[in-house]
Amino acid sequence: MLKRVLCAAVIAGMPVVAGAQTIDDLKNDVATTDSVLTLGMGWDQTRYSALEQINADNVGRLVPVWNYSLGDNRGQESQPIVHKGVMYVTTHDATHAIDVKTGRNIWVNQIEYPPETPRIVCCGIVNRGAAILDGRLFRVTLDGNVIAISTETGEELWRSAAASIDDGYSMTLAPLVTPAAVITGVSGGEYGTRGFIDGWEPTTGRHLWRKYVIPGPGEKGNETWPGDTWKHGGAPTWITGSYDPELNLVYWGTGNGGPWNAEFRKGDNLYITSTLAMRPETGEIVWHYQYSPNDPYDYDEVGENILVDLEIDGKKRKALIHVARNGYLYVLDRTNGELLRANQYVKHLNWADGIDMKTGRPIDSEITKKMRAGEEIVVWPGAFGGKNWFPASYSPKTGLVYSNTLEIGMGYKPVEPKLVKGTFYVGIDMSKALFYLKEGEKHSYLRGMDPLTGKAKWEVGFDVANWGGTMATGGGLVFTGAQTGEFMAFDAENGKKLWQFQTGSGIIGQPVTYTIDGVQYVTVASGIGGAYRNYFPLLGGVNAPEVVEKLTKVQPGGSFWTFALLK
Amino acid sequence: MSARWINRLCLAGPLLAVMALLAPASAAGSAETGRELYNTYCVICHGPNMVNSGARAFDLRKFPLGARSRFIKSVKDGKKGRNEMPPWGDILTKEELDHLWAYTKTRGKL
Ligand code: HEC
Repeated sequence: MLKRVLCAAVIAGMPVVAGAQTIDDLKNDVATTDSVLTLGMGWDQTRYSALEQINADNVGRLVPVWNYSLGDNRGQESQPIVHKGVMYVTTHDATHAIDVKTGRNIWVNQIEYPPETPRIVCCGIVNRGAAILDGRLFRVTLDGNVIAISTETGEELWRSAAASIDDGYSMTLAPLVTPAAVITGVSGGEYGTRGFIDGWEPTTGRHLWRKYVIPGPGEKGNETWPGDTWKHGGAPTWITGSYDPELNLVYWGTGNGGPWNAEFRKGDNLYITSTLAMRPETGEIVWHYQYSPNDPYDYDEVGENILVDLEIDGKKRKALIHVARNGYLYVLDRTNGELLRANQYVKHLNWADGIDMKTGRPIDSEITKKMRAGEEIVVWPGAFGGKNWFPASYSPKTGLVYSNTLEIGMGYKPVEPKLVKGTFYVGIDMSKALFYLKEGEKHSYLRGMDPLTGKAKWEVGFDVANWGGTMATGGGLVFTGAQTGEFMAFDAENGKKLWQFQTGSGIIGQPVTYTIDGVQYVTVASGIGGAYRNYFPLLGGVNAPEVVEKLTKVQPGGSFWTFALLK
Repeated sequence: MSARWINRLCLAGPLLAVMALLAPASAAGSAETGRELYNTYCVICHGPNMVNSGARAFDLRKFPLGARSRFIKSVKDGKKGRNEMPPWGDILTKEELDHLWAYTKTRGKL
């Protein structure tokens, strides 16, 4: 043990504080069920816990043990970190340490950002969580800083500027801690930005490297951008990557091209809408897979890359599962990026006629060809995608991927884009960008899907779209929340709803589970906000007033709920 | 009302009318230009044609029409209430604020 700790200390470049967790602890996060040390409940981001105290037989006895008010009306998308009886959670402007046993506050670290910032934040004033290492907590600020806070006292230890709101950048993601660096990405794909990923030294905040995910002149891939278009080409990197320590590869997703109107950037536009396999020491891109070359539809592929080993066509594969925003469920070989599967998982998709398995490229449909010629269309899925930011989970017990998914179309009429500071740089007629739902059908489903076929073994529909993450457990359960406030548990085998609790505001957060003194707890944030709450009322009102009514009745108010079985 | 007041009003009335005629057109603001500005800077939060359930931002169709100075101040400096209205003073000029006010007074029905 001593050797392991020492080794980690050398890697991190600092002496280990007693009781602080190490790189090895992060690596073992999946196995150590008494803590939650990483976003996604493990570097592999399966969001699966082997815990089975709470299970399909007894989940009906799940009751709240405490509620913690965040004193904040913004959307709460933060995943808690739990270490040695302390929970660390974030909001857009504060970090809270909570005593898990009592639900009482230990410290709050308040942060400020300029009031102009929300001008360039498209999709909700949120923060998605923290990362920790050796007594330090790392988080980002909405206005583009990475900060470290003492886990013990809540004091700020260092602050490094990553990006500027004046250039359209913001930051909302949880950092990723790897042995080589603390890694962060940026938001701002709608504001004329050029995406990048940074590496930071955990002890000092020293900037170690930056990788622009749109190559500049002279770099390979720049030729996929005409003229100067690469300068404002988007490819934001706004969700935390996963990490395979054996292969020493970080898997990070990139977002939409900018402007959305892709006729203004003819070419593949590397590396928009891609999964990048990168070296954490340098940011070097070892391989990439681009889901939607020259994407016009805002199909960010920043969502989680789930790292699991699967048997595919009789061969054991180190796989990567990606439930793509473009409506297909992909499986890649994570050693080299080889495409293994790409199957449609949404019911309604008209932008492509499928994925060419030889080239890995989507085949433009007639609808997309019409749009590229300048015509107004209704595209399925619309800009929210088949799945948005909210993370999916994978259970090795059932072999299924659990994800909230969407069936929402959108009007799309390309127009000339205008780059104006502080405004959307998209190049589509926003007054035509209305949402469409299929009559007589739900537009949101929780689905338990076979990753190799994209087929749902079961699905459960919702009247207001679910916008939060899912979590699967060894107890045969899938947890997720509704924007109408219900926190719910489903049978992982068949989707039967087994339990629910009304949390007061809407859920768009990410559930976690862990044990304290051998007792299993489940925690989730409540607090409505986020992209659907922002845009569905504005752009869906005409076609779905009943959804807007249900959605806008939900009151804001952020808090964390923690549950355990009634003794 | 005293005779002095009536006197003043009689004098002031025509004077104000003349001032209004002489003032540059922009001081009153153009609703058309205001709509363009609105569609560039404001539509993303306040909605196309100001149609908005009030969940994301203030429903501008309900903004009191007599409260011009409150409008100018809120748009210039921002306003923190239940939610947050970002300030625009660094981007929008005084004339542009007048155009936006002219458009706001149409209740989005231009
Ligand atoms: C980033 C989203 C956003 C943008 C962009 C935005 N607003 Fe707002 N606005 C808000 C929110 C949120 C409120 C409600 C603030 C509160 O009281 O909590 C608001 C409130 C207002 C109010 C009412 C203020 C008051 O005195 O009560 C006015 C007027 C207004 N906005 C005008 C504008 C104009 C004009 C623009 C474009 C120049 C604009 N807004 C752009 C979000 C936005």
